Amino acid sequence: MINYIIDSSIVLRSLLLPDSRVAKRLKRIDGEVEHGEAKIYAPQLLVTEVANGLRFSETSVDKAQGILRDFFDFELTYFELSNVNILGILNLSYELGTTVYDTTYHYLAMMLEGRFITCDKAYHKAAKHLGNIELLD
Amino acid sequence: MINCMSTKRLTVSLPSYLYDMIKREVPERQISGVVTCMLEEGMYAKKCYVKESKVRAVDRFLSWRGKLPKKTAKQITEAIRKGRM
Repeated sequence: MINYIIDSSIVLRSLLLPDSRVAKRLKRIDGEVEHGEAKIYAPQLLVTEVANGLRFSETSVDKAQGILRDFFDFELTYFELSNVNILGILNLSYELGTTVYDTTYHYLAMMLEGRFITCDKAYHKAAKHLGNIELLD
Repeated sequence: MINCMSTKRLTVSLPSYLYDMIKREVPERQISGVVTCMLEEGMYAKKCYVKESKVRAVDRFLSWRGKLPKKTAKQITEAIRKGRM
């Protein structure tokens, strides 16, 4: 069983990039979930980031809401981070020189011994030495 | 519920006791708002109905691809981060 952690770069690039490679990867991961071979986890932050990304990418509120509703139905588990987790994330973000937002996903991947899937090159460059991370480019 | 959303009409059948309760307790002009609020909560909790769609949510999500203008990776990143302090 693989635990995947996905961020908003994966979700929104799968939708908005002309190139469909990220979309195909997301579909493959979902296929693994469907067959009981994997689980997808994310921090609650993901929903806000996806909504904000839609807010500033899509001009129609009705379309943005429709997209977000379909996203709500993803078979993924939201992980509620404790204050201790947040302190750990803050510490790690200082160490890596990264944002707390981006570090949250990776911290969750390390905690769940999973794989953080991201399109964020800058974060990947800063944190790849820690493992538990895969860059989709 | 946000009042500025576009709306559509839907006729539903309710158990009499629920109908009487709504008519008794909710002011006439607030019924749609109250029902919408209840439906929103219920739909997202998904406890009272079985979804008919056999299509995976990811597939439904990705089916929007053809209906949206394409963006660059940079534009997507900026949209996600817009407003972050």
